[in-house]
Amino acid sequence: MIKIYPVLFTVLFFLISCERQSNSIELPEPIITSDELPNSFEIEKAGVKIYFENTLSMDGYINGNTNFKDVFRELLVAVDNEKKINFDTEFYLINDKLTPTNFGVENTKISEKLTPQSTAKIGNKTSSNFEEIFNTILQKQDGNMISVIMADFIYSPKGEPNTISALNKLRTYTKDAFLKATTNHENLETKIYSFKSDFKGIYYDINDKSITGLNNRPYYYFVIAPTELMSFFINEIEPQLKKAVGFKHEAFFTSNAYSPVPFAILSSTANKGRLKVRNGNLEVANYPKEGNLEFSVLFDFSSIPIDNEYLMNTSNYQLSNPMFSIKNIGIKEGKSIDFINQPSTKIHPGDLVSIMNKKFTHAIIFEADGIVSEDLSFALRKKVPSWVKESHSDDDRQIYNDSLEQSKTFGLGHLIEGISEAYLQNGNDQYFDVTIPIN
Amino acid sequence: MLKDLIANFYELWGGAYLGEFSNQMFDNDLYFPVALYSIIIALVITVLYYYVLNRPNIAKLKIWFLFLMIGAITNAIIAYVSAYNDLTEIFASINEELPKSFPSDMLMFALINAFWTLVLIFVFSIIIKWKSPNSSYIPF
Repeated sequence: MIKIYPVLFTVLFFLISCERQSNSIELPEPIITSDELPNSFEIEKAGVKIYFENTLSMDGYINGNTNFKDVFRELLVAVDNEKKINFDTEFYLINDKLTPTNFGVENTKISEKLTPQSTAKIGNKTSSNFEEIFNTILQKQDGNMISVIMADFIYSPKGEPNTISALNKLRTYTKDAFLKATTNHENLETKIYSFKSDFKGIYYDINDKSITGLNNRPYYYFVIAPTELMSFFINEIEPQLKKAVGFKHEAFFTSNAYSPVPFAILSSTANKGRLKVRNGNLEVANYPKEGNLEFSVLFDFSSIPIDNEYLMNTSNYQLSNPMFSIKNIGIKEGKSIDFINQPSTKIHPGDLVSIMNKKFTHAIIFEADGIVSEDLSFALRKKVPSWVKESHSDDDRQIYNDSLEQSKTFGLGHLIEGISEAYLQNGNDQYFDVTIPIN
Repeated sequence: MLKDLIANFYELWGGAYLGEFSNQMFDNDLYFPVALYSIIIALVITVLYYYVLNRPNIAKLKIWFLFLMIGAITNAIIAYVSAYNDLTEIFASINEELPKSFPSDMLMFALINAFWTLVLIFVFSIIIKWKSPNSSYIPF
């Protein structure tokens, strides 16, 4: 018996030492960040056409030094100093006529020369027919070109006795213009940026009544470009615009879809119930004693050119099974998740190991009412963002006395709905869809 | 498939699912090496008893039972040490310490491995005992 023990322990220690060597953990290669990637844009030269709505209602934005001019200057400088693509920039004043001009100065100085006086006698400044403006601009949209339209987009239903009918006409003709454009150029995308600027001029209401004394007014950039150039604009130029004073909201319209979206189910973070995650499948080990089952999933939305305001609005998502609902949406920040109206949630170390060297940007907490028996499918729908409804006005006659009305734009909702409908008609109605397998 | 099968043995088909510990063991393929070495050690101990040390004075049930316990304890230690070392290394790679529940989970894992070792040595004994010159009637 005495001789047995040395033999056994020798075998035991030999095996343990071998086991450690053979099972050493090989960590995956670190992820290359976007900054380290080579320039993936094959376009070397492109055109940028900047259109300024040259109407009387726009004079208040260019009268002296305003936030409008600051943002315009940022745009011109960003485009002029872009090194990856050689941009050929052209500036146009647009009303009933399309007038190219640079006021005799270099591009970056155009914003300084843009004044009510310098634009006074160019075209008919009392005309702001956006259906025509879009038609003109979209017809000129060709190849590698970015079109930027700067306007207040206040609709003037001149000679229209029925306002609702006039607004519907605006939507239909806008839709028509974008349908034709997106049919001719399938990959044409549109991005809308909403800003607020100080305003030193006259506002013309639905009845063309002149109103003075409005100090701040919204205005918009409509950017139209093919997919690759739009991606470039979003990555390289947009940050300058969004940093500028007065930036408020954005909206994006495309025929493209962005599936598949990478995701990872978290087994131990922000959950109710005990979860088992095997080979990417979710298994419910135990349901919670009280309340509904909850589980959180990380997503990488970085390739989807949609802002957080839209991504984090639960009403923009469509779930296939009524037993599931979205409880909360958060942004992943390092080793934590910042959910809406919740203190920062630390990601469980075990989940951190599972997502090691993978990139995720957002987290969604799903809630299940009852026993889960099928996969969870959900999609991000292409909708007009909620801020558009909040910024839309269909009666601006009381604008002087109504501070909320002063932040709205007459007819904006119908204009953007027209664009949205055109894209929905010509493409997918979802930005992406995801199926989370549940056993 | 094999990975799932081994995980089922260690998690007793969900009865001993230990949450994050079990997930980490599964995700990082840590069950397999423990299972492999446990099988080898169970086999070595069984062969050792029936054929290498093969003597009349150890052909007793209590000696066989002692070998059974040595195998179980050895494999329990292997399971604990292996899980501890590998998981510590994995968590250290993301600058995190092992979760507080893991030591007790590792103990449970070690006990389950010891249980399967007992079963394995018993099964191996039944299979290979017949040609043992002195212990063919052990355990029965």
